[in-house]
Amino acid sequence: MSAGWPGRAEEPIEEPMLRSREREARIPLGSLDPAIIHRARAINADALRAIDDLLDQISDPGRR
Amino acid sequence: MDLDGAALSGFADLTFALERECRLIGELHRAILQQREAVAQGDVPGVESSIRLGSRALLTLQETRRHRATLLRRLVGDPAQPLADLDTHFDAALPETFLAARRQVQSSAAKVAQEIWRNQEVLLGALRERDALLRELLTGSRPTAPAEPPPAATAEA
Repeated sequence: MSAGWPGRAEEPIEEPMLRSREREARIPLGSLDPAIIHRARAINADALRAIDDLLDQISDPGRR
Repeated sequence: MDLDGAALSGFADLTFALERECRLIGELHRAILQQREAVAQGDVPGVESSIRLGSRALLTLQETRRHRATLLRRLVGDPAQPLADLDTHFDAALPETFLAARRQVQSSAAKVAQEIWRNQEVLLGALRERDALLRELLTGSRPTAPAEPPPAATAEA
């Protein structure tokens, strides 16, 4: 038997609404941990360095 | 230097290495596009997967770079010889297949560099957006741009 009034267990439980679904939809990356964003940025920075080195090796002397 | 049989064989190996680098740059490109899409969707496994794919492509690119250095040392005696200046070592025109592979790598590398820059901006924007959201949750209001000054009052008769 549940506490409160009879039939309380059947009452729909209202979800806490910190922000509306509309708001949720327009906030990007709500579920992404900043750590994963930093990891992605770090690997991208490594990739940029590698590609820049490659372009230095391969491009015309004017670029270097 | 003559473009003799040994040199032509060296250029064939170098061309093959460049074609491999081009394919790896293509893999990196796909990983970068996947990353951007996953970030836009807030898709954590997608971002993780793109990081793995990008890291793998990058590691293999570093390996091919070392291999290219070995081939260059064999061909002209200098592992750091810029590919752009290779023709200064030879009396004849370089093989067209090599020149085409070099152009292809250059073009692919320039394109992927632009895409990576775009992702860096997107990721930075995501971090800023998240910070703004946290501030909003803590303070109850979003930081807003400074209000525009009111329009100048018009003189009335």
